[in-house]
Amino acid sequence: MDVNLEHALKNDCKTLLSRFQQTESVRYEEFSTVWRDMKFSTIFYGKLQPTEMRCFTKEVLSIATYYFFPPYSFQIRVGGLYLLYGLYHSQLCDPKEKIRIALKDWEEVVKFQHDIVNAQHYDTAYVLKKMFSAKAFYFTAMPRLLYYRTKQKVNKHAVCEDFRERTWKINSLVTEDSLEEILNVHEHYQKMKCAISRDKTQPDRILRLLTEDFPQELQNTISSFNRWLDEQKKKSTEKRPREKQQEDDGECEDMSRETEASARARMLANIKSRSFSNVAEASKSRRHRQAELGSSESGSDHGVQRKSSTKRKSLACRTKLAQKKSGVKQEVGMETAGQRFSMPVISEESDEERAVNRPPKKKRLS
Amino acid sequence: MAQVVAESDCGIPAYEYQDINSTVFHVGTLAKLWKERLPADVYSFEEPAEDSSAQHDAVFGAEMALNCETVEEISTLCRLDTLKCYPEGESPDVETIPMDALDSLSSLRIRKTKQDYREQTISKDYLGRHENYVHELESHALGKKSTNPEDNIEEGELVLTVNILYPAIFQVRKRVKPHQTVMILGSQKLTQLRDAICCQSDYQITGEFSNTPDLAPEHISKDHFKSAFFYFDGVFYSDMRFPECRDLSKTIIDWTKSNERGYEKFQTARMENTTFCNLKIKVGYPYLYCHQGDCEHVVIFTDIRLAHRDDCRDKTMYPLLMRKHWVLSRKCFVCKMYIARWVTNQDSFAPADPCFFCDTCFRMLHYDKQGNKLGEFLAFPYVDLGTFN
Repeated sequence: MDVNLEHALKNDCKTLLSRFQQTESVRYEEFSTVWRDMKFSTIFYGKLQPTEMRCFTKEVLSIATYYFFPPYSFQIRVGGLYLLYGLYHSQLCDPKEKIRIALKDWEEVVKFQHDIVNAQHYDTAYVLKKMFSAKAFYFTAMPRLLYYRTKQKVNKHAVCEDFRERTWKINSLVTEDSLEEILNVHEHYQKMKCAISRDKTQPDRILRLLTEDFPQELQNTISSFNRWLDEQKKKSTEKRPREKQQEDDGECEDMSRETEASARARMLANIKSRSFSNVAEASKSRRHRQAELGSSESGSDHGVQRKSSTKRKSLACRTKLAQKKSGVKQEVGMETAGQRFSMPVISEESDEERAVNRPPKKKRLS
Repeated sequence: MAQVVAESDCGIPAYEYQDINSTVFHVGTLAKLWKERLPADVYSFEEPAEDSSAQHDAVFGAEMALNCETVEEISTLCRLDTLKCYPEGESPDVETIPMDALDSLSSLRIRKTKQDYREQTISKDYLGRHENYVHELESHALGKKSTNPEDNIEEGELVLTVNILYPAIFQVRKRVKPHQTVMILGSQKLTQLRDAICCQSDYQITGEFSNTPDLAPEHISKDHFKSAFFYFDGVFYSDMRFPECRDLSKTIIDWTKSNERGYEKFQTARMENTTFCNLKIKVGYPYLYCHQGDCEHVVIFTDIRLAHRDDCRDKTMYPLLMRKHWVLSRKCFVCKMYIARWVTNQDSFAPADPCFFCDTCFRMLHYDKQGNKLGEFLAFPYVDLGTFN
């Protein structure tokens, strides 16, 4: 297949998904709006000969399949699924070209299905189920047709960094659980100090080896870091529409910024309340239910809340994965099996670059 | 490395080299693992019922424990109409590229430029016969079913796609696309694939037949030298169906044993006793098919998957030829119509040396009515690659 066309196809998929990402929702409704707006079905239009059409359809489906699997974030994976659904049903081949799922990726599909059912994303579950019943999949040994080519340059799929679920070293260092743990330990520590002091309400001066409001300080640092992270994300996602649509959509953007700001505030409040109150937090299923209340009609805020919750859930395992994979050596020229997952999660330069902008509060910690 | 071994042991194929080939795995285990993991209805061949969507919704509702209204709401939200990019009630012209979509889709812009260029430069726009041929070959068997239910393939059967390349002894065709692509079932024997491979050297007739042209067809190599072997991942599978077959791999194995050449120990097995499900292979890895002593074809398994509802379901049609390299055939120098069957050297009648003839023209020119040889020439039977088109 033409390299240019392949590249263009990738770009189209990326554009669609990044627009879907901006909606900060996983609702099918939002996706289909973007789809219609881009007139994505027309990608199959034009005078194409049958073999050419088959070849093209296979290529599009195989490109779209990448977005359905990790390392992409949950929202992009949902978007990837919708994209497959859309492409599969709007293709013009008869019989339809199928989507290839490899045995090694099947675990991910099952996990994903489990996640969406748990999080009660019924539209996503419905779409997935419908694809199964439409027999849209080939169950294969390997994700692509393999043909031993040594001379030819093999085009590999470059992971789109914007869609990737970020693992920040800070986040892996201080998770919410560990924050709570620190809080508890600190409280206990304070109590112990009080117990051995002369004045039972307050520890002796000699025992004051630690800043008393250390956990609070840490808490603040983390939340300000999260805020900064949010802003960075916003900047990167806002740049794109400006380049593309330039003048119009001014109002629209303002509105979205407003909702985003409120969402951010809510998220911060959430974090604060969770770690400062000793009340047992609501169980995960409960939180989903709260978010789900009255939400078959979707608003972007529902999406945000839910998104953050799924993010939180997978963070620990994601970090583990990243740590494990960072040890994997990369061979020159040919890549090893784990390559798809083993790319360094954050490139060092960009990390340092950002460090310049980072709030200075972090220094107090060390 | 340890991880790779563990993965191949549990039978789940992974990449050995990204996008090039997989690790070794047992084909039968792959089918087993898939069938364990998938609910049976996902890979069944069951045709969709009339009210399939209503039924589907009901099942979905029951699984998710939702009430009817919610399911209905979801199914209206996710209906296929939401993907349509044209106003209600209109049916679009899929041959023209809509102008308003050009801004948002870069791939359409590329196609548009190509199409415009085509329209400007090409005077007649028709489907190339080559394209037509490829399409026909690909689609002729799709979804076919046998009238005899016993001949239909079972659900969960494996379908393997095999590329067979031109033999390595032909330097000319070393770099062209695969000679033929064949689909074959996991339950079929290796010998069935061997019989489906068509190669010129099988039909070669050796010797000079200018005195006895009628005897030539009796000397087809295929009937004389029946030995052949496949080499898949350390095992030689030899064809021993006929008493006159020899184990061609023996020489190779002896050679590796004769000195410390650094080869692992090769095993041998019988081609006729082995099905594809018994094989241990790497997908995408070049293997070997050798016949006629030294005609060596590279064989590559490009794909292995579960059979799908839309596949050809008639067992008897497998091995199914999916694609074949189209070669120009050499025509008879006299009539310029039929494919050449004979080639002559030092021919007193011919304008060129060598000169090609079809059977009829050859006999008319070189023999009298009683079949007596006229003039001086050497005649050799010729097998054209184009005869397999």
